[in-house]
Amino acid sequence: MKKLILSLFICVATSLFVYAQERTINVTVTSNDDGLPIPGASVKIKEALNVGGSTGNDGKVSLRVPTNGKTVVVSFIGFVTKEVQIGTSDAISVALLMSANTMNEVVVTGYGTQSRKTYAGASANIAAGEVAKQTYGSFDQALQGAATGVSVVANGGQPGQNAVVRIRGNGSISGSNTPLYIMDGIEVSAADFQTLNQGDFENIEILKDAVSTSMYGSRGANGVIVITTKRGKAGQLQFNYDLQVGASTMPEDRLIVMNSQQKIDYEVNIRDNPYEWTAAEADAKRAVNFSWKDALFHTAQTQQHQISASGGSDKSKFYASLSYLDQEGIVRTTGLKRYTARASVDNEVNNFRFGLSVQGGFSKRSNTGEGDAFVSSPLNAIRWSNPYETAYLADGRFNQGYNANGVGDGKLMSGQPNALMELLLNKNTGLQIKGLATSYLEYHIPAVDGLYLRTNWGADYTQNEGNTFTSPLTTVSFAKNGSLQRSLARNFRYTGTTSINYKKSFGKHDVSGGVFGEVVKNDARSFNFTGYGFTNGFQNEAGITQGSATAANYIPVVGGTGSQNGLMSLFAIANYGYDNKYFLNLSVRRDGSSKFGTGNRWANFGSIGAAWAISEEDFLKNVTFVNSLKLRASYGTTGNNATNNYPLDQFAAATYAGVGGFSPSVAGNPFLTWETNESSNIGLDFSLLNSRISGTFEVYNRKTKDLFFNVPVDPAGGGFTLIPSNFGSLRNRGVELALNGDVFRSSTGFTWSLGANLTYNKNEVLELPTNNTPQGDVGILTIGKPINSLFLVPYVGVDPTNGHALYRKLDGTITDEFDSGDKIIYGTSDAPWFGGFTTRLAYKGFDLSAQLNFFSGRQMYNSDLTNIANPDYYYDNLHVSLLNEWTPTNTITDVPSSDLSGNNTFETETSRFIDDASFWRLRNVTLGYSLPKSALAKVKIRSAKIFIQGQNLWTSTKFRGFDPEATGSVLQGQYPSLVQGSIGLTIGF
Amino acid sequence: MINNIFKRALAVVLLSSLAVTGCKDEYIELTPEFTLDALTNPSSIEQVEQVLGGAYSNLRAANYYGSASGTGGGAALMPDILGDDLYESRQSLANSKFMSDWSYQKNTNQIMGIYTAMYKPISTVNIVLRDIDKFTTPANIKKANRIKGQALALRALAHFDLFRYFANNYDRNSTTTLAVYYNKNFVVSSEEKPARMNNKEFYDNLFADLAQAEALLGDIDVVINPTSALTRPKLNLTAVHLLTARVNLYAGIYPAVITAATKGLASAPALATTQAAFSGMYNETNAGEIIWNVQFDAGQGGPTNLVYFASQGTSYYRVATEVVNTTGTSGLIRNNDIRYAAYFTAQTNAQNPTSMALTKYKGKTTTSNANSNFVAMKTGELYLLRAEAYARSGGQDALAMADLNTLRSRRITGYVDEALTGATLLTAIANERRREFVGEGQRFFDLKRTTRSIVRSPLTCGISTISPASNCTLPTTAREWTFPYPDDVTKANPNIIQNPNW
Repeated sequence: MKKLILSLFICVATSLFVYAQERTINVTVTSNDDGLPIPGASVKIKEALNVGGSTGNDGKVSLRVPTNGKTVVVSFIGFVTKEVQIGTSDAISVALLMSANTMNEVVVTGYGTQSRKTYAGASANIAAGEVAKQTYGSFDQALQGAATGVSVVANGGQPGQNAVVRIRGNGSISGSNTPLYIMDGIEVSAADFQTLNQGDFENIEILKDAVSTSMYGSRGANGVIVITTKRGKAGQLQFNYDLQVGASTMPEDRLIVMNSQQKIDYEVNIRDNPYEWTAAEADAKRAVNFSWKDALFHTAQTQQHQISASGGSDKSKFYASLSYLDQEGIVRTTGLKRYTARASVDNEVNNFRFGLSVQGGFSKRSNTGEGDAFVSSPLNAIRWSNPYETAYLADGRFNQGYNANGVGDGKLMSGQPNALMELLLNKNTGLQIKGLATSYLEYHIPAVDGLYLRTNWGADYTQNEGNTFTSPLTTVSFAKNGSLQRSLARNFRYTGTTSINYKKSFGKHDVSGGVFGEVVKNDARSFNFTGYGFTNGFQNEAGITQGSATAANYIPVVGGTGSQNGLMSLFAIANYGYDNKYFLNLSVRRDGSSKFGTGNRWANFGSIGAAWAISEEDFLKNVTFVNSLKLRASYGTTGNNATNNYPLDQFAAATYAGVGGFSPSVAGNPFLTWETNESSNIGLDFSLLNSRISGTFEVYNRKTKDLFFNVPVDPAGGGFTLIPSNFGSLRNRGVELALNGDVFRSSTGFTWSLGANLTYNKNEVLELPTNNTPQGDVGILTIGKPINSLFLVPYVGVDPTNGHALYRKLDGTITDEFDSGDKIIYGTSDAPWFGGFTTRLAYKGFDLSAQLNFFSGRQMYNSDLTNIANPDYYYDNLHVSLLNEWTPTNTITDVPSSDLSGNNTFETETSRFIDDASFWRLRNVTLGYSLPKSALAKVKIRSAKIFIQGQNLWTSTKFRGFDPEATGSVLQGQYPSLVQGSIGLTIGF
Repeated sequence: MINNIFKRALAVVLLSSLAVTGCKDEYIELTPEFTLDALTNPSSIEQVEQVLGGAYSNLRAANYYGSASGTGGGAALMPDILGDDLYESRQSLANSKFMSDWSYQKNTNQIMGIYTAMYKPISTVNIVLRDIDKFTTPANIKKANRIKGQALALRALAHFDLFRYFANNYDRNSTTTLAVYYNKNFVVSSEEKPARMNNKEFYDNLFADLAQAEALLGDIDVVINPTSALTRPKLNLTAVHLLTARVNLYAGIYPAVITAATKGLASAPALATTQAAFSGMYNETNAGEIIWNVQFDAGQGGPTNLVYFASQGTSYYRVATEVVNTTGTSGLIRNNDIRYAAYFTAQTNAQNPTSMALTKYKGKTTTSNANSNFVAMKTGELYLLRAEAYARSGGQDALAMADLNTLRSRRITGYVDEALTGATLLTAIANERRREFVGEGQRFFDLKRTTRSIVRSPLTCGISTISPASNCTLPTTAREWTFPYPDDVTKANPNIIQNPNW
């Protein structure tokens, strides 16, 4: 060991000697885009790579150049690395071009960082700036189309609604498919991003394969999304102010209902005139044409402000920010208001490093019911309320039935509740308080270079307060004179990781690694009450009439519950690199979960990965068009934890006739154990033609075994219909291609780049305890087919002789007799093909970028359509296709007769209601302009940029609905994604 | 040196991990705080009784005696919409049109819902019956009898409710007709795939439980339903007698019906004679002649919403004019009958001509919030059971007529005793059952066990200005007399043999 230190000393001494005859140069690095200085850029001497430095806030750095130094190499994340000859001048200016290949040079795994070059795992880096500029209430919506292998589908358009994110397919049938979200080393809940400010994000890394996720062992099976927040940067204090104001509106509706003319014609001419309109009445109604859509939707406003400050010295840095977001929903009364504050400090004292980051947020979300088929959910009225009925009467009162005393019944003439009245009078708000705090302490052992101890602890606290008021004037609440449901739920999770880490280079050998101990504990509690009797005008607790024996109708409902779960892990990571060419990544992990029985609690996971930097080989050194070429391969296992907190059969409290009791509530399985993913991945990273073309190609195979599978059972045995078990396996196989190219680069500053990311994922069930297990009403699990496959009876048209709907039986014959036994498998809602295309044009401070996303090969069951194609519902509005229904005079049609007698029952579980839900969507278009630095300097502004952007401006789909972007295989009562435009301003001081 | 430091540092990590492991109870040995684990519980006779309470609460499930908007009510109102007393109105949201049109299929969710909801209390009482003996001592034997007797009665009741839907016929000794599996164990396992029993085996089990329940409930510590209360929410000895009589009537064993009904009448409350006492059974203002009601307390819903959505006054199903008309001047139930005001209210709206809504379960006292109890057994039924058994036994028409007269005279103002015999008497008894049990879960089964034919009144059914119903007759040969075993069950349990023609 002593020898090694000695040789190191000699090495250093020799270098010093060599550099004795040096001169000093001043390098200024700016962005070619806007001419602004780039702080933190790396400037090195090519001929002596150990000489270098980073630019300061002014973009300047001084270097002492040895005599053999001829070239400076300037690099910065997101820019094309540039080499400049050192001439005679001591002042060198370098203008960097923005790179289409924005890949960060460092992979942030959450447990540390690793040079991307030495990394064998498959991961994708998302430009946090692209995420921050999109004013989604939940940042995950902005990940759509941003990375290969990552499917992001909006879960509805209500502001603050989180998206459904799947990394490399759905790997579980009955377990969770949600990726793990890690922020600054701790787990954060996936469902509530509404109170996080994406403007605070510095970096987002999506970990996809075994090498990258297996260090999360028990939690990594569905991929990991690692978010690093902004930290302070050394240097002069900097302020930034960001502003965005915008407006959003509803997308095109492709589910067309009848207009007044059509509906009255249908009632009177095709059906039996149920309301017995006289000819004069019918004509009057035909002329009404009220738009329920316009009544419920509006153009919504959005504004967002953020200020942040960063600064400090080399030893002590801080970052702080405040943000405010006010996003109205396109449905009246809905919206999200969010306030966040964040502060972080990082300190270095001798060999200690200490950092702390705290974030507090508060949000208020106003919702309306969606995704249901209740008549009282206002969104359903867009489909169901007759267009010849209006929301208001001529005298300005709500349109509803009034009795002799002028008391309304809340309903339109058709019996539908007046949706606008329900929307305006009822309230559904959620208040969320979110607190995140993380801290770390590192001790760098002085005697050994590269060896340090680190402990990282953090907490994620979420408190949700619910406030649902239903007015005594609306139909749902007549009986109890209004109701107020209040709830409070809190979730507290802490994550603690303690490790010893080592990182060192010995000649051609690079070694790094660590041994880690980790605990995660989650504790949740909630309670709620519902009070009734709102007779005094108050809409809060003061309005509740206390129930009693004499006012039993107002007896409040109270409830509450709670749960705990925990995880303990011990794991080790080791990385080895040889000669900057060959790299090996290893990890092993042992996890114990509280969710499994004593004997099945612990499991081992591990991974191995290797990478080969081919371009570093001598035989490629001279191939000038190849800048870098790296081949990667990995294999490993990860686990998925159970969804139930306890593996036992359990009794829940139940009350009967005023006496407490117990009823079996949860089916347990003491043998339940980890669901395991085995993934392998081969990847190729390349950068060609002076880095003008770069990309990544990946092939993966992700197999899930011991699937969490809720085995359907006959309830005759124990009263349960499903029992949690580990059965079967499934596979996600796919290829991913990410490609970025600078089509045009010029010294005048004009650049044009194109990017594409494409994913093909094939999901396939491999083993099941019983093949062909039904999933819900319209789905099935079949070996060889994807999960979420639709399973319906083929609808083949209408019998021209009697108007009966016709179905194809399994033997191929055609019948009008529906039999659920004739169901066959159709497509899946999980698009096998998806991706995004981006382009960017930049010239002298102007830049124009666009992102086009697509999902292809998906089908959805259109439950919304079933409700307006049912001829029994002709008191309410119906789909236009019913105008073409079979009648004795209209016999050649594909819409069955409305006479449902005999075999012509209205059946919903047929292929008649499948829609092609593939779509293309112009996700984002942004035009930005950075003001010239010279002009700004006069008003003491460091930087300023204005931009205008549009979201979801164009969508192409055959799907009959507002928005094909819906999750699950069934769609109904949708709150569509917003079509949004905004103007933004970013100023730095 | 580095080696040493490395070792020391590693030791720190391992030690801290060990320290963490030392308190691993805190992290991975967690026990539920809001539920009771079923491995070590119930652990006392008190807890066993609480599990019995849980089984009773299972009866409130929407698909058993409870309801949801336009759905549910497997043993409450479903048999009424499947029969001919009610018709689908134009206010219907068609949520149960499948059911009332008899166009249900193997994939119909409500059938799976009914099947599951009815097996649920069975599995719960099986825990009671598994564990009660463990905690029985000479000192608490009467208490144990009270708990065990109720559990057996409840198990018999729920199996019989299943049997009525899923067995093709009710022959007592058929070894070819398939009944349902009579479950006596609580088994939560994906390996459990029970086969259906034949009628004989099923009845044997059912009668054994009823006999044991009768014996046990005759020797108990305290009265099961306090007489002073306005409700009678638990199954007592009288309820067991009534259930025994009811089962025997379906099985066609008339002497046993007479015996059981007579025993029941000996301990049953007297027939309600006033409007207040009769209506009070349905709106919880008077216990009247309730023998057993399913209790729905505040916030627990009620049976009505399949037919009459009480909170909005929406009548998805209305009462056929052959049962009652809006003035009480024609049909089976007239305005001189205390059942008239207790059961119906005239209603009108844009889509429907004025007609009678079934409002008997609209709420407690005068509220209309759907929160009312379901009267599952009452003294009137004992009279009707015995009357029918007498009439079908031959030579006992006078006794049958006496029971019928007793009941009618309490129900109908100014009733004059009649003296009917033979087929006329049987028809009169059938009509009286129809009057007595409108909306009480009997009609479809009464038809199934007698005429096995439904012809809904052409005055309401099939008239599109009144009702969207598409099917108005159910012929004797129809497969729909018997529910199909749901796809979800047959897929999960390959030992199930499907009903004929499904």
